[in-house]
Amino acid sequence: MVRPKRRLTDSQLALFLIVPLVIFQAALTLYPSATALWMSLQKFNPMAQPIGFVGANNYIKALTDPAVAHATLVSLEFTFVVVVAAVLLGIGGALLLNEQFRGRSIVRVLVVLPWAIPEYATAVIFGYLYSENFGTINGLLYQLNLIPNYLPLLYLGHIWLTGIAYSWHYAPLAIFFFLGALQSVPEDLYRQAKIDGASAFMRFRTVVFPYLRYALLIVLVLASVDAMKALDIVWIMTQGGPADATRVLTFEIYRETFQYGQLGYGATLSFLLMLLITALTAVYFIVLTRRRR
Amino acid sequence: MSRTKENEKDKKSKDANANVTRRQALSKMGMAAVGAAAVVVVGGVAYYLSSQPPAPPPSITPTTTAAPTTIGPPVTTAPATITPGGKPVRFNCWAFHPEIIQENMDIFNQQYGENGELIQSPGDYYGSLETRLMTGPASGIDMMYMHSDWLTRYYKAGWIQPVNDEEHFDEIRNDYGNKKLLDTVIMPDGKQCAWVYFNGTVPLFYNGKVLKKAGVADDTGHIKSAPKTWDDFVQMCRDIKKSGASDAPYWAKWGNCGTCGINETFDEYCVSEGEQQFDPKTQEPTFENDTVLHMLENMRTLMAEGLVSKGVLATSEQDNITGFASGKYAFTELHDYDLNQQNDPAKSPDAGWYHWMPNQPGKKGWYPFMGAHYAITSHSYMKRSPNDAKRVERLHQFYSWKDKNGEYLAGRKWIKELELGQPYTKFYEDPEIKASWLRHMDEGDFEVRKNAHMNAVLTPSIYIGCVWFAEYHGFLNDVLPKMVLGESGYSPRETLTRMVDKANELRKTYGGAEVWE
Repeated sequence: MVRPKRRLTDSQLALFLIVPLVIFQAALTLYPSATALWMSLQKFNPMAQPIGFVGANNYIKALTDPAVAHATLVSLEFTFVVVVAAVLLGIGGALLLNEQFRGRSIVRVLVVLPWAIPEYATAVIFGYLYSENFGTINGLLYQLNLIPNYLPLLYLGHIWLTGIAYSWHYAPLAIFFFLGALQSVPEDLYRQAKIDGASAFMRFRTVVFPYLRYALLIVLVLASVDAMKALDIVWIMTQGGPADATRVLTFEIYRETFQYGQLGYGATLSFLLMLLITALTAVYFIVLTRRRR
Repeated sequence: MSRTKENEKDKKSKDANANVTRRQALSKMGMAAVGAAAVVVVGGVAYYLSSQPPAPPPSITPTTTAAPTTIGPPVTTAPATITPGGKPVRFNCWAFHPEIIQENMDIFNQQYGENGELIQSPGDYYGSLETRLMTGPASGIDMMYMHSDWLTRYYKAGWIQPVNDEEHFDEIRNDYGNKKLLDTVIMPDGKQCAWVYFNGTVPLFYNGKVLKKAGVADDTGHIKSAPKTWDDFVQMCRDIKKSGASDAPYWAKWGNCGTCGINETFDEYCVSEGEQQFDPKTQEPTFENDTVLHMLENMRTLMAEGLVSKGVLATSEQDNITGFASGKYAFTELHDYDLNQQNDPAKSPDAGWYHWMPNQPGKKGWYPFMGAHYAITSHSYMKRSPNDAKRVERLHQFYSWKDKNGEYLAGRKWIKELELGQPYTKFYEDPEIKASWLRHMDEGDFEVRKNAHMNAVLTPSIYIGCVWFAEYHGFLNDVLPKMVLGESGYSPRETLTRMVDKANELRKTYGGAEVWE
């Protein structure tokens, strides 16, 4: 008697296909996250015994720590500068690159370069641009007789100038998202608005912007998440200074975890940062997709 | 008949292909993926097992062999019966001229038939090192660069092997010119935990060209009368500013660097005043006194009167070096080997005008120790075999002391190439080495440097014994900039109180002297 060949049901097949992915995700994401969550509930500092469960103490400490509150505000300020600058540069750059001009293909390639440059190199480049002793910006202002002496720009503009440096690095990504969206705007719609006598601003607001909405959402989310997570640029340019003016939350996390060995508390701060990023992202989604729904 | 069979076979085969649904294809692909994963896992386990070190040899019989020497006395090399090879001996280093470190490693491998390897840790050295060391043998680190402060921390964690039982222990110690260097490596329990990689100090330097313009240096750019106290120093800065020679004469090393910013400079001021800051035995803060208070007041005065640019508060260590080389400033404190950059015509318009201050201002005028060490990871922690332990010891002494031929190979190279100070007094008498130092300083500076190196002291209670120094230093970077900027709640008196409170809080968290009992 021939045994009938056993066939997987749809559900079994789906399970069969998805299990490796779940295992992979669990190993690379869930396990470390769960371990970090467990650590965040511990007093986990190899140099200060004993190590042990402290419940929500680390969270209470973090939420009442003025240094954490300060770092959170600095992170939000930094993110605000990065996002605004990246969106403005992104839309401006995309509008420019959407026009027909000689050498446009080359310019489109060159525009990517800042994004390809590592954050470390970006920090070094802007460090020299802002330098009080050799800085290009100071040199230019001085040559134009706009300043009597070279200025300590990074002291004066700390978080804004580091934010601008980061957005220079980030802008190409925004440009390409917006450029892609711009290319989906129907030409006749645009022409029609022109015939109807709409001004350039009105044409942008009523014809172009609706097509940019989702690109904007993506750029806002990506730029915000990346800016909230940024550390290299601040670490290299100002090391959190002057005083604690550029001490972003990631700086605080790094310092607590890797310099002070406070692994439990560092994990707690990381979870708070994750919650903050999630909340920020949710706000974007709600605001930008509300009308569409 | 056979043709018919073949046709049927073909047909079946075609039918089978035609009937392969997406479901079946996916199932097969899934099976293949699982099979591939299994192969990878099995392969990985097999590779791991095969890469484990071989069993240690039955015994080690130390023998000594004489070796030729060029500088030092005849040296007995490590036992000839040490079996080289096997698991590589690994040296974890930061990325300061790795080509020199690699060159030395190549020589070591050649001389001893070894397979030593470098692990470079660019960026935040201790951030990555500490997390690696937590993993024990998996870290794969046998020897590493260390600073005194982290040495304390890692020794307390059980990661560092004391060197007291190393062969040639007494010979090496006797070779050191400045015996105070031993303070930088001896832990509160009396164990010595490292050998010196380089030693130096963080003195005040001046730009003779600016001082000459201000009338406080002679025509050759040598200071006429060096300030004896920090009050004198502040006054000299005022005079220079008033003369117009420099807008902000003191390019202070007051940045936010974890261990080499305003925190290190504050330590330097303390050392020059003879202030140890903490009790060496109990680690209790001892700095709540008028001397330290006045020092803080001076720092604030320097900033308030514009004698220091506010820009220094956002500088890195490198900014400090390049900034002073700009020729705009009269004074700064630098790691002593950085003078070579100031006096390099390719890097500074005032090259040749930079000098050591003839003396450190302050009641004692002491120079702070600044340098680094070679430490080895604990044999028991790393589960090292006795033979491998000896191989690591040999690597340790090759870099920190002498090579197989009895030469101070690594140390000599560091001086010749980069002017890093070495603990061996006889180097100062060596004409070739002196000539390398004189490339970027004159005879007067050389004598000041020699004296400073021979007498530099550690602030022992900060670095030795306080496993919590990193947090304390981070805290100094938080409060001192606010104090110099005159922020509310950060007067010198209030800042001093905050510092004492922080030190006591950390002692409470981590434990004081009892930690070492």
